[in-house]
Amino acid sequence: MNVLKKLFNGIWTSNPVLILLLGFCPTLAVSTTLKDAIGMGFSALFVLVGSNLVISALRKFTPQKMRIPIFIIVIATFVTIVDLLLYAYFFPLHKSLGVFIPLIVVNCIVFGRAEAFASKNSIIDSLWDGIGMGLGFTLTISVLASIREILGNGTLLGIELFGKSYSPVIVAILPPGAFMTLGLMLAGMNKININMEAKRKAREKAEKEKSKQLKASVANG
Amino acid sequence: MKDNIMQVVKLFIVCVIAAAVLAWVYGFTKEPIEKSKKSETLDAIKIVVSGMTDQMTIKDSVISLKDDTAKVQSFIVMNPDSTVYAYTIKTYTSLGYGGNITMMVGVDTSFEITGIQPLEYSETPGLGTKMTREEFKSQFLGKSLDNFKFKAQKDGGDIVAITAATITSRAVGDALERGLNTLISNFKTQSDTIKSDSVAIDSAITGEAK
Repeated sequence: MNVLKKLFNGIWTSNPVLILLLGFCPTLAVSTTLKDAIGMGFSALFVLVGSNLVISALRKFTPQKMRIPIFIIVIATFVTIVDLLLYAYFFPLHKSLGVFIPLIVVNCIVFGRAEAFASKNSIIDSLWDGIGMGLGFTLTISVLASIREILGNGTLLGIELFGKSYSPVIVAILPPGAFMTLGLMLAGMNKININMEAKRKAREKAEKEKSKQLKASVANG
Repeated sequence: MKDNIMQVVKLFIVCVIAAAVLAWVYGFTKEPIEKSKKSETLDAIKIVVSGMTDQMTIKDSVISLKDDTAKVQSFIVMNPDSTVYAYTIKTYTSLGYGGNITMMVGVDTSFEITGIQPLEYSETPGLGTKMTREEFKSQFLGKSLDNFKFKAQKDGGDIVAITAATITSRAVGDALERGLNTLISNFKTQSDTIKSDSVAIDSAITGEAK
């Protein structure tokens, strides 16, 4: 239950991109195709889990004043490992992600979780936090990339969806399309959360009134 | 003071461990990385040279671009009897929408294009990257400097440009033209000399037989 809650926390309640508003650079830049987005998402997931684990394990060893350089060294090490592994075993993916793999070093999701969570919590908690946040990032960037790829290129995972007669909405695949789509996703996320909040309040209110009425009827009776 | 020293020592320990881990990963990924780099070039050659067989050998050479001091890689595909089957060149242009485009171009011995394959580029996904599609690439097959103007139709040339990616199409034309010019200036005379060489060898053999 606790684990599920942690995963849900990363994927929805404090989704790194849509709620914490972190890591916009890779989200906007690498969401032109779903394939790249998934590759990017899982690379970041790996780095996030690895750095969370190590930083959490080192949290008693790390001097307060030296924590930033140590975080950066740990994160950069994991990013370089991902870079080398992708280069060696997933060459085409490495080629299309290009400079955005080394740039995971400065992905604020990774650094943010190291500073805000892993340096203060146990290894197990940090592991699940990393997985949850990584999945949240992967899902968000994948949804964004799906929308952009379908609209802007008429394909999904490189498969043509609409045939030759479809003329793609080219702007969706260009940088402005990334901003617009992400903006709409943020708006949608906020709308859903506001609605849920309103419903929860309405329910609480109703329950309160019910208990009031109950009390009143008990008093009357 | 003692705290400061401890901080430095701890940072040093973390650095040493990180370096050791990276050295280990680098060690076992080094070979696959080199392999995939090599196979990328080899695959590109196989794509641009049609009808290549396993008996053929590939000769690697570095030639200089025409009107340019830059060096580019060129690969000569040789028949088993060491005559030339095809030439390929890794040509480039800096006119791409997102900067440089590198592409492999293959030509037969009469310097007509047998295939092109973009290798490195940063064109707009979904627009400029359509240059990797067969519909665009196939228009260059069998074309040479004599029967094709490597300019977009908009500029009075023969290239059917990609919709909404005229700049990329122009850049591809530029790369191809430069590549063909370079190949011709480097190999056209040489292939003549190769021919005359083989004639000389033939006559030498016949001379010996006499």
